[in-house]
Amino acid sequence: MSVAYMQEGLTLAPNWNNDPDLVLALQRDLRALGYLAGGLDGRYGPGTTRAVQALQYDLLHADASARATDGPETVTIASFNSIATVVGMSRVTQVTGIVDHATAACISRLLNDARVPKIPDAADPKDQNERALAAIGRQISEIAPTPFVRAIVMQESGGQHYHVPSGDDDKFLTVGLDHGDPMIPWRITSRGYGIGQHTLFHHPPHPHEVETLIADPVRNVQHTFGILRDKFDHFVVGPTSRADDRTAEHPLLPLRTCRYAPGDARYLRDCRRCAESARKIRLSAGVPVYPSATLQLRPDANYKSADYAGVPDRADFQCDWPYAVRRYNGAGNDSYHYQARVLLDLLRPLAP
Amino acid sequence: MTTLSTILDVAIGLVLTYLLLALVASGVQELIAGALHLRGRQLRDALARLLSHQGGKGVPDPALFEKVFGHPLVRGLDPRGLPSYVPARNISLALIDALSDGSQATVFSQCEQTVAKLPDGQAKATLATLLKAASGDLGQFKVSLETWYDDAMDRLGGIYKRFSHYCLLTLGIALAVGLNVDSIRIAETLWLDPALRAQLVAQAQALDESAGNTQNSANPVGKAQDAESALAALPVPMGWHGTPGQFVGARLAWALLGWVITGFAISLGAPFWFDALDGLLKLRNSGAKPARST
Repeated sequence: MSVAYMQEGLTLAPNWNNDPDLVLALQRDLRALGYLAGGLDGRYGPGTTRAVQALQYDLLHADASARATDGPETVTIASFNSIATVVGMSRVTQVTGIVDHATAACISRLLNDARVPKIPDAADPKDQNERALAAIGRQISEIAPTPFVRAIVMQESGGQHYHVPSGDDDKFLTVGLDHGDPMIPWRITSRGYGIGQHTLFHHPPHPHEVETLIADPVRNVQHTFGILRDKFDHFVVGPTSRADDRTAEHPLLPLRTCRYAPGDARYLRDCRRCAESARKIRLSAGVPVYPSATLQLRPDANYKSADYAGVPDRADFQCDWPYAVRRYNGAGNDSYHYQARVLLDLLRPLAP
Repeated sequence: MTTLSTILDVAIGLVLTYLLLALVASGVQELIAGALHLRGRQLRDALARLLSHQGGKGVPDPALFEKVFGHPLVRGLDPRGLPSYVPARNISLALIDALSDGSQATVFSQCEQTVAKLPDGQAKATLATLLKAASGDLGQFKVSLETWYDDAMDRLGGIYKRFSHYCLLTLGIALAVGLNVDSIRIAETLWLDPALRAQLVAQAQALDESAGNTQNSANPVGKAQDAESALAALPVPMGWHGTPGQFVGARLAWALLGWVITGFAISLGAPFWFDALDGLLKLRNSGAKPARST
């Protein structure tokens, strides 16, 4: 099966007199292949251009020598370009952001190869998302507190395992694209999949990863539980790394799992009550993120308008999950925004 | 039977004498302790030991001790600045106040940060342990501080009790010699004089009956003054009215023994002799007095 925009002499390009239907078809294919996060609107804008550039970069460079640390792909994206010469067709030779015949042929080959799993979609994404959130709410876990995981999920994907169409027809699984290479801004360095934004550095994912960890929201979130626990165990008071906010605010206390004892019904469960009883602080421009933090660490360092009011004070929780949540995101300025949002989300009542 | 009741009456007479003397001694002791601010000094030293940082050798962390002891909630309790009693609540509040640095952090977090910066030693080790046990709960930390302080004050109470005992013994012997209260002579006199015995037993009964009212009197000095006048009126042989020339040889040895017995008896304290008197009177009346019906 070939793609509609793979025609001799046809080029789709930014700000060109493109056929919107063909652009939409291209966008759907880029979305299914994990190069576009959304915006299926039939217009060849900057988002689509970036997606095409990312794909072309991978067709040129993503070969066996560029393996990600989290395991080799079953097949490399670059192999779908190098095969062109074997079958007597022209290859993609540079990153242009324009879909020519060679690029369209590569897309077609990728779509038709079973070793390249496609991003799944749902017939009724809204219903699926509600079921996914309900399943998380039912999770009883000794690994990590469910309310924190739920708040993380809301922060990661807005609670959307599948994209809910808004003015378009995008019902694909939520995919977050990270562009972590400042030298090549269009290059996609990792992808977060689904409700918990399960991160994979290799691409394409293994078919079994799509089946289990990516497509199944419960498995997807269980992965979040596991990662959060790992951050809690190793990245708050060591041994791998220490959280600087934790060190500043609780220099003496050992790691605290929960103020309630295991077996208590509130153990790792009633985080909302703790968030409510914690004193509320305001994180506003120019105020260091913890009392002795350097002036570089302040909410408005990256975002001028940063101002969070009524945030439950992480130091007042009597457990160390607020610190682990920040490490779930990372260590820099942004991680404090992430922490503030998750702590604010804990206050939000659960949907009935 | 007669002999037995005589012995009992002699004992009652002696016990009554000891009780009155012990009351006087306690009053004098309180006067001395008060004049020297003994309790206040002991409390201050105990607090200094608690907040010391050199293995409890009594070298206080100057800043921390000064902040806590100089706190209006502590020093302000006494006009001379040496309170003899500080409630645990005041101490915990003053200590948390002293550990707070006024930063934006939670109070618990402020306390933690201050304790982490204290020089190594007893105060730091104890406070760090209490903070860890409280695990971020300020209320729990306060309760632990209060228990810690109360335990220390209980030990201080023990020390004060021992001091009281030695003080009473010294005062008792001084009183016995000074007033010439010779237990042996008194027993002898009572043994030979039935009228005197009866008079003393009647006095003892009167005292025992009025005890319900007087024993609750909080002021030991006031009690001592009452006891002093009762003692002066007591018809037992005491004082130096006789000829001092009597005290030679064996007579002096007996007198010495009598004084020492009296001194030790006084050192047992008024509450002990009160209970003893009550017991003896009940024994004399053959069984406990029935409660008076109204």
